Amino acid sequence: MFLHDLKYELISSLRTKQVIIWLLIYPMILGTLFKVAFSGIYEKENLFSSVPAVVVGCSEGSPLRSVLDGMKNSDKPLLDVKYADREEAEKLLNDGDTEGIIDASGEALTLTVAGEGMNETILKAFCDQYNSNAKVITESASDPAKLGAVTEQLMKDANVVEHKQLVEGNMDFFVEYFYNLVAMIALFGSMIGITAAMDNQANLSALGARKCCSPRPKMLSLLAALTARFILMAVCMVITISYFSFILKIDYGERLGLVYLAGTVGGMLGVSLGFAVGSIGFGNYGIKNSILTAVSLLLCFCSGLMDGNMKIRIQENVPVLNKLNPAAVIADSMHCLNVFNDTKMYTEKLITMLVMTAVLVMFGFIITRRRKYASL
Amino acid sequence: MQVFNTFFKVLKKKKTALVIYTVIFLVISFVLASGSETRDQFKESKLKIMVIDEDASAASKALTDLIGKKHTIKEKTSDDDELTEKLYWTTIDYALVIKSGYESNLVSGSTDDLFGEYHVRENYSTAYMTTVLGQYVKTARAYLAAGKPLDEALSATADTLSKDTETIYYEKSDGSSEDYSNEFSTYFQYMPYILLAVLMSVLGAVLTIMNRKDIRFRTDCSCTKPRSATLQIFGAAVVMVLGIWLLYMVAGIFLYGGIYRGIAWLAVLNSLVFTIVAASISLFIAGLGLEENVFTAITIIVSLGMCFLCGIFVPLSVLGEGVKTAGRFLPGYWYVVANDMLKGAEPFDAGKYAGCIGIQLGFAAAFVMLSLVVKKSRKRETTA
Repeated sequence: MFLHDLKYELISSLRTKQVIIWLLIYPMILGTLFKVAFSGIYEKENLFSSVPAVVVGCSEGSPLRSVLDGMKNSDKPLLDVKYADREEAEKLLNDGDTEGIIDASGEALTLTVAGEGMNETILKAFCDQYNSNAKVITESASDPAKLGAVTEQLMKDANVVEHKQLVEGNMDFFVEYFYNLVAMIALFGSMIGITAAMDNQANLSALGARKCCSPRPKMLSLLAALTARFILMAVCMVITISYFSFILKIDYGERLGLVYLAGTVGGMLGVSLGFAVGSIGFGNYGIKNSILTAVSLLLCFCSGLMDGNMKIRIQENVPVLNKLNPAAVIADSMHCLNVFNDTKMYTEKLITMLVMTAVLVMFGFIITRRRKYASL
Repeated sequence: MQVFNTFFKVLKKKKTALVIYTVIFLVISFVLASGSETRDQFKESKLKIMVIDEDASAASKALTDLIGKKHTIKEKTSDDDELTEKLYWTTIDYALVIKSGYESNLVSGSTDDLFGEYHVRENYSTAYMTTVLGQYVKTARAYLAAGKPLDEALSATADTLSKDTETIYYEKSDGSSEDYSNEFSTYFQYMPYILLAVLMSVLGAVLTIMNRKDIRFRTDCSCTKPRSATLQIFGAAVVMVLGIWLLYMVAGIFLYGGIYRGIAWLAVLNSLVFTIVAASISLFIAGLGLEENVFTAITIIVSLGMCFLCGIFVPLSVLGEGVKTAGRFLPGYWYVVANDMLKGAEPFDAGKYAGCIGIQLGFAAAFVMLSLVVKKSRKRETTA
């Protein structure tokens, strides 16, 4: 009996156009657009590359020239230097082809920049360094016996920092948008969750009224409806994550199996949310669907779908919201897999999702059980 | 005027989307504009630095104090996981460890790996702090070599490194002007999205209803001539589209702080032309007679797709060459190119601006032609 119900619930769910559009086509298109727009930004904006600078008033053989020439030979030179006259340098700065002009024609270096940011700050740090060296040498010139030692200390390479990378995962910040996209699809599962409840309640749909007249146990019918939607949602999640991972080449890390698991459990959570709201005994499908869509998008906004820094702002001010927001929990589970080597945090997030799912399903069952109608 | 009035009766029932989109757009625009500030002098970037002082000496304290003058010192985290999270989300830009034995090693001159540093990505903060720390140690070594005792050497180092290089802020002469500031231009930057979304979901929805077979047949058999009915629908659509565009222009005046001036009028013209494009796209899609679900999906795909591919959501300067090439085949790209010239991101060229306007009008004409073809073929299908 259960399998019979399950089969027809699956068939009827598959024939709903909404499922195909909102749970498969829409996320795939949005993911493709994210990929197109965001690919390459991480490398351009975050990873260090030599800062382009133009040097004016620097003659051949000058101390500055030898410092800059020496810098060129290092693995990752701080500056990418061009030499030009003032007019050409200003043209380059104006056209955005350089970040700043280092002017060596005076006693001390001066800097001209057209913006504010890390590139300009690095250029200033270089000029500060050169000017402070000149100052120290000038001060020491009064004692020629020590001048040699002072100059040697200033010129000697100083490898004073031991660098340690904390994690090896994908540090591209934009991958967070894809975690949030998966969370959004999962919560859109509520659209099909609503029908699982409404199609079985006599006061909410004609189909529910017909089912209530039949001798079939209501619990069995509800379980079949819910299971069918869980299966459908799992399939949608697997297809979408596979599309992101294999077609769009989004780096979800090496533990893709666990990403599928997180997505599937997240999908179940979304369906359960719809089931719980659908069970409430008032409001038609349109109203409930609109409310759930708006709530899902609001939850995704809080977890960083529209603004990547939103989740961290909430974390700093109201951290409990991130622990209760289903979208943040789903996105975090994938984030933990990427950032942390162990699965402690991931397991914590997965258990949170399962507990939320269980609570919502229980809520739905309690509300719908033992309903009898004198007339409808 | 019966058809004309009916158009607005249907519009009244579809106004929710217009109100929601408009309110959200205006709130975001006003927030973005109020957060902006004009610059006339250079300010260094201020990093958020966590210092783990394992040496706890006078020398390490002197260094921490010096760093604190230019940057923000953040509290230490309790464990590695928390530190990783903070570095990942850049709530901390740099985690510095002043290793045990720092002071004695500095005095003895064995300065390799005096510090440790944790990072999750090799970014500009790492490069910058490596330079700053290297310079600090070199300067302190030099003063020690000059025969100063440690406390004097550290004090002299702090004094020398506190002197800032003279930095001039260069105002780009790139066509940007007070009449159309960079901050205000963001209002027009995002306008194509709102125009597409609103016109497609409102105008498109109304036209879809007016084009429904049963309504069209009823109108056709009434005493109103088909030509008159079409003209009334066209007239109502023009009034509605211009009304929506005017609404955004008036809201823009409040944001601008008065009537538009100078080059800002060119941005107004650019937005008017794009409004015509958005209306023509809505006309075309409404003519296809799609189901509501499919129509909504297409609305979202077209509006978001154009905004992502044409540099509306993400600046053109950041998009890859392939994306930009694809974007050239969409009207939104030419809107953004014109807006970039007006705000000064690209040098202004009147001929190029006129070209952008012309191409957008060309797209509008093409969509109108396409919708006429679709209308004719659908009419043939239904009468056959």
